[in-house]
Amino acid sequence: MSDGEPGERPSVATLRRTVERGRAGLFGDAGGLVVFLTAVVVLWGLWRVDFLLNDSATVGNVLVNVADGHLAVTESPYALTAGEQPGLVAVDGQFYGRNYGQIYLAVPFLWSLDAVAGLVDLRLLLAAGWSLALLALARAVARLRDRPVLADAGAVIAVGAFAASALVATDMGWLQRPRPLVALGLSTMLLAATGATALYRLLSWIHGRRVGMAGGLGLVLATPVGFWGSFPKRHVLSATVLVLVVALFAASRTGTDRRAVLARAGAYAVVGLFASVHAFEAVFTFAVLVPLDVLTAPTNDRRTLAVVLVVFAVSLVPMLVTNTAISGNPMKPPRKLVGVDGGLSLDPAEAPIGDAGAGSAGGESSGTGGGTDGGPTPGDGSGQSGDGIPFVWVLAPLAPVVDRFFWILEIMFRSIESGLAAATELDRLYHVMVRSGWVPDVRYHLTAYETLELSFLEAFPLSGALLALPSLLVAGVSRRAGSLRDHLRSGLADPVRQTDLFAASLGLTLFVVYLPELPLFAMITQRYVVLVMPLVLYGVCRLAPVRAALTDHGRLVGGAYAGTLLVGGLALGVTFATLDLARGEAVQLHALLGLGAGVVVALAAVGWPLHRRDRAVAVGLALAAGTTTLFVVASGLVVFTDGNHALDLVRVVAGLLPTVG
Amino acid sequence: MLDGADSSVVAAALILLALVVLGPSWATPTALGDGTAEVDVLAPTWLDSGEGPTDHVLRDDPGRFGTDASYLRSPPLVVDVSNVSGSPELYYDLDVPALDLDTGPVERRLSGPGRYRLELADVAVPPADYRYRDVEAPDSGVYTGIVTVRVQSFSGQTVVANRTVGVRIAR
Repeated sequence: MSDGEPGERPSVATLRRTVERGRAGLFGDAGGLVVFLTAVVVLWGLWRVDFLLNDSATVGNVLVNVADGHLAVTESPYALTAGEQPGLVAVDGQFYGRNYGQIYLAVPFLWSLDAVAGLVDLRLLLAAGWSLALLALARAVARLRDRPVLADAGAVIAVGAFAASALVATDMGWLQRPRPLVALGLSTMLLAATGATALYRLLSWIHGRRVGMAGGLGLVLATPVGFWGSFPKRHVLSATVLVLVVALFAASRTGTDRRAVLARAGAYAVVGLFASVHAFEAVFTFAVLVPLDVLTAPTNDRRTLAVVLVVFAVSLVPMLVTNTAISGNPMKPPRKLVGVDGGLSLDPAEAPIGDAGAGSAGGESSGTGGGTDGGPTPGDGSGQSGDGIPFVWVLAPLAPVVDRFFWILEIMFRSIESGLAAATELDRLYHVMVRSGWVPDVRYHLTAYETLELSFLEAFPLSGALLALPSLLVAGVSRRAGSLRDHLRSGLADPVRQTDLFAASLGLTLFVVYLPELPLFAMITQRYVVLVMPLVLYGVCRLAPVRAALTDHGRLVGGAYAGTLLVGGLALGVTFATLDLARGEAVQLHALLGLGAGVVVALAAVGWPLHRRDRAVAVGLALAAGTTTLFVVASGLVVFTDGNHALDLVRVVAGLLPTVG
Repeated sequence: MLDGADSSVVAAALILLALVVLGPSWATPTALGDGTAEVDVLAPTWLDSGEGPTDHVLRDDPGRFGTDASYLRSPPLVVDVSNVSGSPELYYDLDVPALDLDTGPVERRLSGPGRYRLELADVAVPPADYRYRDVEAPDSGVYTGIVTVRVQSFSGQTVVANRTVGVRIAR
């Protein structure tokens, strides 16, 4: 950390130190800053200021109202009727939305945009923001590589891009009220970039900067997080939350100093705040965090636990206040209230949530088709379950809370139970994990019969490398002396292994509870489970062959990745231009490419204990990462767009490309 | 010669200055206004001809890359536009009332004279055995479609072409 330039006045030196310290706190080091800014520049470039799925109309409307100072939806600029706003709920004649925590995050952005609206043009502001991010990125890379000329080049490109944008700027004619959606896009992008930075810090702590960079950049460029990076949906937020919780968990395993205790409390605080966005996901995160944290913490002394408890309690305030204000019950989130267009959400075992016919409170549907979904949040069907329990009388004022507690336990039990049952169905697993195509029983009429559902592997081929885990474990155990039990015992004393265990448990749990909902229409990248994808990427980066490829053959990985983008991009352009693809066909073309790349990287990694060819793994990784990048970029420029880009320059460039649909 | 840090600062200052100087209403409005234009249809050629209603049959092609749906692909509309006044838009649609198909419409602002090309979205038709509650795949056969091309603005609309075509669902 710099102590200021010689000859600087003390106040300037102090300011400089504060900035440096703030930067270190947020980004870790120069590498973290590069990861963060790269994520922002890429996502901003592909940003479409629009609704991809129609429940975003609900989120947009709620933001407008919350920014005006009330939770109830009284003004509805993005939809004329309640029926167009899946997810809207009614309480005593008032309408409310959901995901309030996500909306609170966007409010400062909306206020800022409103504040400067009379001063600057919104379209130019977006162009300027991107140019400034590019400037900062060029400067950060110049520092990291010690090549000042890169900063100069970045400055020229940034000014040029802004000038060109000003020449072709048009207003956002497709939106009557663009600023709330812009605010939601901004907050979502910054969340995605935060997740990427957190993964960078976690992995660089374990394996050094190179692996950290690959993981952090990979989060945005090589997983579907990049696809969802600017849409006003919760998936990116959830994904970032899980990475943050795992990274804070890891940081808190290393000692008992103030930093470690704060990191531990921070993990709980993130979960507590998360509950104001999606209580169902937060509850499972909490349920996995508590036992593993307590079992593996360096200390469980009273003082530490007190700090953790207090911080966690405070972090729950946004959820408790929001729920109380809306339903009168601090433990009853909006998702569990009566939907405006009909009855309660039902048990997934009886009728799939989000069934258009069921009229669930949790709905959303594809902008390309229609229909609804709401997440597997089993409902209120059982009514009041605590009436017969004596101590509820003793705790009469807390009765609703206690009642809710048992209700939550019941939901958790049922979700795990149906998730495990679903995990034994091979047909389901095949379509969700391996190959999509035309999947039987998916309600394609809700998406205009377009096959927009990539499987997990098709959307995220890098995840195929994780198939190497069993063979690597077998090879690792057989190589070392001692019993299996000794390995487990010594392994679990290691903070990194503890973090592995936590990440794996968290990822598996959230995957399993969503599995009964899948396959489902309008998922595009199995979006319900996008939140576990960064954890899968963490797992991939932890594998010995992947580490070896990244550390010893970084240049090969970079070169092969660039080659994949170049050759793949040209080939895709020619294909789109000559085959006149419909949107569903374009998505399925990507599916096959993703599947192929996933198989290649899986084979390279699985066979590694035998062949030991790091270079093969390196090429496989680059191919898989590049395939997802191509999907994310093609989606932004051609497949999932209609001239609705945030940047005029990108709109103009995209207009020159062959169309799909 | 500026060093890396300085060039970034200068560039940032330039951008922010330009942002403020250009003001709050710089971007070109895209809203539809009043106006008219003359349109000469180049393709599809049958739009201009006086042939019978089922002569020009659009048929569905099997979907590729594992999409079991088939696709109804409408021909692109290519027109020459002249005598543009104000800011009108060109409207192109294919409607098949019996099938509840949604191909568009597409609307394009006419910013000046020249050649314009409008493409309707490909429409997916489900496989014959698709069924969900009361939703069923359409029977094979030839259905009547209506193609509409017009120039429209707030001051009125001029129909360029409006005729029926045959749309074949093949199984």
